[in-house]
Amino acid sequence: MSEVTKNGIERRDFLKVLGVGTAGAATVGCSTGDVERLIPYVVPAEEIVPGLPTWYASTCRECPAGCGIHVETHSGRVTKVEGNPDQPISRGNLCARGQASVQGLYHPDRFQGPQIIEPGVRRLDVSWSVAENQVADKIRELRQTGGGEVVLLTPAYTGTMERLANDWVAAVGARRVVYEPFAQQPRGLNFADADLLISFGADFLETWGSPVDYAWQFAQMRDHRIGTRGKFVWVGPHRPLTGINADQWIAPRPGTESVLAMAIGGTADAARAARETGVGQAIIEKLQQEYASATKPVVLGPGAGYTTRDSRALKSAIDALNAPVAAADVPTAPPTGSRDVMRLIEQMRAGSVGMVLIDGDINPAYTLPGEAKFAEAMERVPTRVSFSTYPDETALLATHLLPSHHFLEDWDDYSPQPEVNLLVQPAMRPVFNTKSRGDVLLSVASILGQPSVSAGVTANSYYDYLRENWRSMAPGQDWRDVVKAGGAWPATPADGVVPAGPGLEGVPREPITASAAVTATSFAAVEFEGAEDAEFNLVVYPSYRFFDGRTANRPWLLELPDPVTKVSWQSFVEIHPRTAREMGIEQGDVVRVTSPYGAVDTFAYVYPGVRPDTVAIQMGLGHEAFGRFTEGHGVNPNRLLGAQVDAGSGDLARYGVRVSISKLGDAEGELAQGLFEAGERSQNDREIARAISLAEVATLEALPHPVVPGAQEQISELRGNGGFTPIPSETDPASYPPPGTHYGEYVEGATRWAMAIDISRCIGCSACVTACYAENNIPVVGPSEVRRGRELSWLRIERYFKVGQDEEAAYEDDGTDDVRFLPMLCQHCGNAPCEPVCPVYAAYHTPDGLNGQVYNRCVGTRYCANNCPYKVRYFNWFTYDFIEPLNLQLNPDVAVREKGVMEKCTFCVQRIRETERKGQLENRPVRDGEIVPACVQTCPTEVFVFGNIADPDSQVAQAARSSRGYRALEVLNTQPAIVYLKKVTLGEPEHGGHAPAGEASHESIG
Amino acid sequence: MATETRSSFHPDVTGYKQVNRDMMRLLTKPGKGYLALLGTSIALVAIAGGAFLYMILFGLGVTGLTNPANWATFITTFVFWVGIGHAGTLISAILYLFRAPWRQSIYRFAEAMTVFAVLTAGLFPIIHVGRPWFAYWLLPLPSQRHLWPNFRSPLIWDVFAVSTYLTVSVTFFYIGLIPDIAAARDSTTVAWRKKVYTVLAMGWRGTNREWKNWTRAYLYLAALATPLVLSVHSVVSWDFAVSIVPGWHTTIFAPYFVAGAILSGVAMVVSIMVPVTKIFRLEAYFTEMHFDRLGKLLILTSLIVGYAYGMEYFMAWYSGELYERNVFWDRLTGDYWWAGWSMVTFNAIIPQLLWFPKIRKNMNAFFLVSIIVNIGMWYERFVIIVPSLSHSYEPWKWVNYHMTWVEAAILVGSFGWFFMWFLLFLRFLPGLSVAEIKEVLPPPLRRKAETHEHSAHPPAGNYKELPSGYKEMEQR
Repeated sequence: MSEVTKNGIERRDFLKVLGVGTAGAATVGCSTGDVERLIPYVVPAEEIVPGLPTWYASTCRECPAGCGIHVETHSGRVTKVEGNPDQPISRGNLCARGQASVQGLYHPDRFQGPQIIEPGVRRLDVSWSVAENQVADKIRELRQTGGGEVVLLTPAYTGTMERLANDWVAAVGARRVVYEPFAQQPRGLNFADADLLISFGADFLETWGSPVDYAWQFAQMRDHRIGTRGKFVWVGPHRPLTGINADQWIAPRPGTESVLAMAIGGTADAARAARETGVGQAIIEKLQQEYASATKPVVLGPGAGYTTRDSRALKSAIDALNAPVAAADVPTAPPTGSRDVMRLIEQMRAGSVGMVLIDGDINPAYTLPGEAKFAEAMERVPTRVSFSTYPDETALLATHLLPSHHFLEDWDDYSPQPEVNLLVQPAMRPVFNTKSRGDVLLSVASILGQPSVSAGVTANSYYDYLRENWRSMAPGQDWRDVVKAGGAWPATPADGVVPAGPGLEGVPREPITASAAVTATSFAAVEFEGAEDAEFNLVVYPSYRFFDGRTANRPWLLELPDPVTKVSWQSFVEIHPRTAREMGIEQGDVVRVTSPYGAVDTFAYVYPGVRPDTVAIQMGLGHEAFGRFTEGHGVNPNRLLGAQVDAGSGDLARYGVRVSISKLGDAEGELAQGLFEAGERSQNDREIARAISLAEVATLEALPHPVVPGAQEQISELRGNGGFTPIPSETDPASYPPPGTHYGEYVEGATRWAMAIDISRCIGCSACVTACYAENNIPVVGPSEVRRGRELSWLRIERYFKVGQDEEAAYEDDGTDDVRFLPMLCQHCGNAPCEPVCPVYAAYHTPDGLNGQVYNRCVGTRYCANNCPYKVRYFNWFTYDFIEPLNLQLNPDVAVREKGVMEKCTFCVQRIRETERKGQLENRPVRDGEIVPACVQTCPTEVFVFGNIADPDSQVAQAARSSRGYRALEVLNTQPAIVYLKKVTLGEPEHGGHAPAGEASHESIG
Repeated sequence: MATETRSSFHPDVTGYKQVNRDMMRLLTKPGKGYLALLGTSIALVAIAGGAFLYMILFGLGVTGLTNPANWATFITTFVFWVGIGHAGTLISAILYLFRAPWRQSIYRFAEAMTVFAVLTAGLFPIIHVGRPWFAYWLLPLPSQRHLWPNFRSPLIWDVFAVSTYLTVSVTFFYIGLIPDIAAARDSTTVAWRKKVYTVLAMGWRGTNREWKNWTRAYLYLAALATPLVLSVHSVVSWDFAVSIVPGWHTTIFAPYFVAGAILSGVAMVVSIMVPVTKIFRLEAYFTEMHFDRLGKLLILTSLIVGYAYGMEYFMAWYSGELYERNVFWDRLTGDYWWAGWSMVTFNAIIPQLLWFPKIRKNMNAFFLVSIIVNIGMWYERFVIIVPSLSHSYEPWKWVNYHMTWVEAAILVGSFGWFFMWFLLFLRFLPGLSVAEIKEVLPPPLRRKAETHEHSAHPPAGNYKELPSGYKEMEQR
């Protein structure tokens, strides 16, 4: 009695591929056509327990880093992606892009199936066999008539796909061209134990190399030990997220970075370097000295957004700097680059290409520079096949659309680093009628009479092909174990704790000098092209949220404010305040940026973290086509770029164009569709994000008893009973609500859930924010609502440039020198202002110290939100849509809220209760660290510690006892469950880390 | 010609009959102007009702509320109307207890205004909540979940304060009306009115015993209503003062709000009485002297309010509290400076013009001042609510509020709602308190009754004042 649905998928069909998965889990009815009808299991699937998730190990493919993931599925549907803690790259953490990959899976604008398009005439929905036959026919035709070559344009594949692609082009007589938007950057560097880190434009916390891995290493490196801490120097014309996390920013004259690099290594004269670069001689000499005396200096670069037309000098200077200490640790990545694709465009334009098949992960029509005129060249190719699953710019140029699976639906593998072979496995049935690109290649080959495209492999499906290939990739390992682990890799020290920290100081050794090889590199400052009157160097840098633009259609990422500028849904051009003042430009003004290759109109963002002679635009937005969410938002800065390629890496020379700026219009009203920057730039003396100097924290820690910094008084409250003053209650917590209390306040001695947040480790990446969206079914509200302050992000990252009241100070040149990131979420106050004011007990206190919020009870008076000093309560102004099939992502453990209801962070109470129940079943108490809220789980730098603070031995209680501990707005006596740990600065922080004179009374009250 | 005796408060009123006649005159067939006004009011209510339905359908997002400014126009308007509802009880109950005889002619209007203002105010908490269909959860109704409302929440206190006030003021209003309804019952010629008035008059016959019980009841109710004048707005002020929002968390709020309420209420009485006097030609009842007294009351409350403003700023400065100081500085110099300055100018400075008797006694000038005070008092609540919320502790969440058409429609609609009831009241219930006005008139003497039948308006001055003792007291 098999029932066939509209799109031909058998409803009760067990997912065959998963049979070899984690444990052969089965699933039903993943097609979206008719989810409304409930059909009971005729034969219940053993592995699926309703209400309990099934997890699959896989690998994130949103960028080339290759983070290991665990995919959570409920009743056969993927609901969330989390880092795989056993995998060396992700260490169980994940960035915002990885968290948002599920929205790529369920994107409502994905192609529903293969299409054949006659441009300007019609689009035909066809079956896969028709589409594949047509493609095969075209290939056969081209081969017979000699009407041009067949080109397979792919990103840099590895492993099985690399083999298949090469086999396939050989078998069908095609040619393969590899195009990576960013030249391959070294992944697998090791700098967790470095004491000096210098980055030449390598935004390793955002996109460069392996951001999740590097973010963790960066936090380890900078984590303060007794009296010491790694130092990070950022060299570049502009400070992106990685840049503002630096302890020192050096902005040499554009094009002279290599001189500076040589000077640091001592192979160039500091005086000459100072002259060339415009950097003070003293600064260079100090850096020289720091480099020479460092135990392990690591130098990263050059970054993708700062690649000039000839970065060889810089590259070799960097290599030379790394050579003495870290050569073994810094593998050089194979250059891929864009040279080949540029040549291909020439050939396409010349008409010598008869057919091009383009992988869906790359979107050359968007990412290639304006001068390349890819779209124009495409028009000259008669048959254009796109494997893209989204209607992106390249897919729109196609004549044949063969939408491939999302990586969460597909079998694949990936080797980001030598010997690290990772497996991608499907976690659910495909959402739409898509097909694995490997399967498509195989079946096209088979239609063309090449059933076995590879010698020795007779594969009916890509899965078989992959299995076959893995015999050699993971020799001797059981396939099931490999699938469960998510791949195979050698055990490395990175698996465990990186031996870092203590022992660094006091090791006598020779001063470091860079190898002499670098002196051979003759230096010539890189020329910038552009009109004479064009006065600004343009920086086009990759985006933390959108990478090269490939994730720009995920609503979560669009809504996520840029970590630095705190602008969401919009593009902006960063202009130095002084430049802006001279040109009469104010924040939010519409400006036109004109280069020799094009012009874009966007909003001015006045930002002191950019050289006055430079402007910077982020990549990723400005899509002409990419689905409903992203279309019409922002501008594509690639249009401004020339088609030059770096002579060294082969990467696109994005840094080398001069542009002119003209003001088009004034900033529109606050509510118009202009630029909206969330939050204030300065803390206005609020001191909710505090800092302490390295020297002071060392002094404090040396004292026998931790004291309140500044006041030199002993902390009694923080130490006593897990750090909180409980409301007295003499009754047994079991008899809840205890008589005499108001529906249960915190009971002394009971569990008290709490969190410690080390803002010294926080890099502001906001992965936690997206994880929170994913876990807690938080809707996306869109740009006009964000502008009204109505975003619902339960957890937000506040970014403060300055501490004081003077807003202008944040526009001074040192405005980005002490940037503080503060994760702000419900503080779960012991003495919560929100609770007594709720007339209906929707806000109440649980016996284990949580601020509960009963959605069903809430009538929406919003008094609680008014009374919340942290402003972390969010109101549902509308009933927000989860557009199908994005609704399939919703976490069944968390209620979806309707309009008129208040909501807020719950400390992921669903996870707390689940773990408690698990403990009950196993007849044991909950272990410390067993409960992991979504933000804690994903944080790449492990900023958060969660647990029971009433237990003095718990990790959170220990962390909270730090002499850096403080609580936000503690003067209000709200007794928050969140203890922040101050940021540790190398120098003296603004206001010395204390309240300015006259306001010091706050300290003693809390 | 024999000099007649007149009331010093109503020298133009010749006698009981005129009062009865004038009262009945208000209850006759409405003119075109009246119908146009009523129609406009009902239209405004309809628009507001439409806006409210639209809001229910799509959610509160159609308003301009934001995350920090979770309360704005609706709560502002709520407090505004509650404040308006104060003058009525003040005039009817407190002045009654103080035996101020100049209240007789105006108190009915003031009291009607109170009832309708509280009726209007009571809508706003329901309008403003996110799920109005569950607003009844704020009432302590028995439920199977054994869940009572949270009696620590000031919003619950509000529910009780406002509903108590509404109950008492409606009762007080109705009790006061009984003898006058009976008078209307006796003189109306319209059959259905007679039926309605008969029911409403509760069989009032005007016997001595009835009068005795009635005056006693009225006195007790006045005594009961008096503390409510002070309590209601104190409780409303605690909605704010009990919270920890900087700019709200102040002990001065209760007296400050009460004074503000009386200021706005008196201003509203003037704003209503001036047109009513002119349209219905009631100059004989609302004399210069009444406006003079109201003007003095206005000055007094305006001074209290001005003092409160000053004290708020002083305390903000004196406390040395960063957040408090910021909020108050922001009120005058921040994004809402226009509202902050409007509030101070309209409520504390412009009413000082009433020190000049000429302005006080000039109905047009006084009317203008009263309108300005009304606007100023709306701004006062706006300034307390919105800038404080938009600029509280957390600088990351400083977002400004912008009113949308939905809120504007409901705000204007609340005036429509209020005036709709008021206009209906004018035509259907005795607007002049016949019984009480007669108290200050010389009792009719049988032999003189005929003489004055034909000369309703003898030249001023040509009469003897009924000794009331009031003027003498005032002169002292």
